[in-house]
Amino acid sequence: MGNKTFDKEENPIKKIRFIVDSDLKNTGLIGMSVNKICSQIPFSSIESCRIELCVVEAVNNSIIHAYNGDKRRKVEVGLSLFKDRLILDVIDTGSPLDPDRLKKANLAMFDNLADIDSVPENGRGLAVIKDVMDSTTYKTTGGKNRLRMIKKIAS
Amino acid sequence: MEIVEEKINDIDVLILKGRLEASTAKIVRDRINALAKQNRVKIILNMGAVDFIDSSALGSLVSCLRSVNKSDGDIKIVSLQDRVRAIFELTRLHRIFQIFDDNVAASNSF
Repeated sequence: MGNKTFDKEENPIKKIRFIVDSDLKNTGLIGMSVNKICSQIPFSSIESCRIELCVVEAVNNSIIHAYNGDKRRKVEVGLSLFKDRLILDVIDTGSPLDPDRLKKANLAMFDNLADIDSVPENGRGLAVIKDVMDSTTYKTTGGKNRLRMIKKIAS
Repeated sequence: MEIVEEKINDIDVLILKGRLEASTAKIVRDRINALAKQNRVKIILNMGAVDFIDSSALGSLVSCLRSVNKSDGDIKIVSLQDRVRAIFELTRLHRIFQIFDDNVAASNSF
């Protein structure tokens, strides 16, 4: 799904921020919290789970790739609720993502896999995020990497 | 992640409970690899009590399936919750794994 333009700079209705140690054991905690919030917005159970998956994938990427598994760093997850959209930011201060990886990520590459030997074990995370979200952008500023995911809320 | 094990004839049924994700996938992967080393390669994963799975865990399941297939075995998935099934479908892995409603249907498919 391609990126959409959203009107910006009104204040969010609600905002919350989580900061966790960069340990994979914490992604579940963040994921379950995001799911619960999404279910109250309300997104459907399936949609809430898909959004949870996106956040888990993004946090996993920060821990595994940006921090190379170092558990002593921090990952920040911010949720900003607007009338028409939910913005999810996943922020780390590790090695930046190669922008090409996000650009090229596409679930369609998993559509026509002939047999089990041709099925990749890894590399679905960013593709899932791009497929589920209405907009996905990545920006590095002042040593902070921010993956911003935007999900529209049906009116 | 908890695993309870049962047998149906020569089939190993692993009943999983909890979240299957990057931090827990290794538990399941290690158990399946241990079974494969004993040439126990007919495996059912009952995931009725799994309420979340991420792409790391799915990658581990792909690795396990590849491994048991090489020994003429298979891994069948059983009792997916709707939300977990949605993730299998999103990632296209419902095309790779055979998915059944219950253990009996899965065991009859070997």
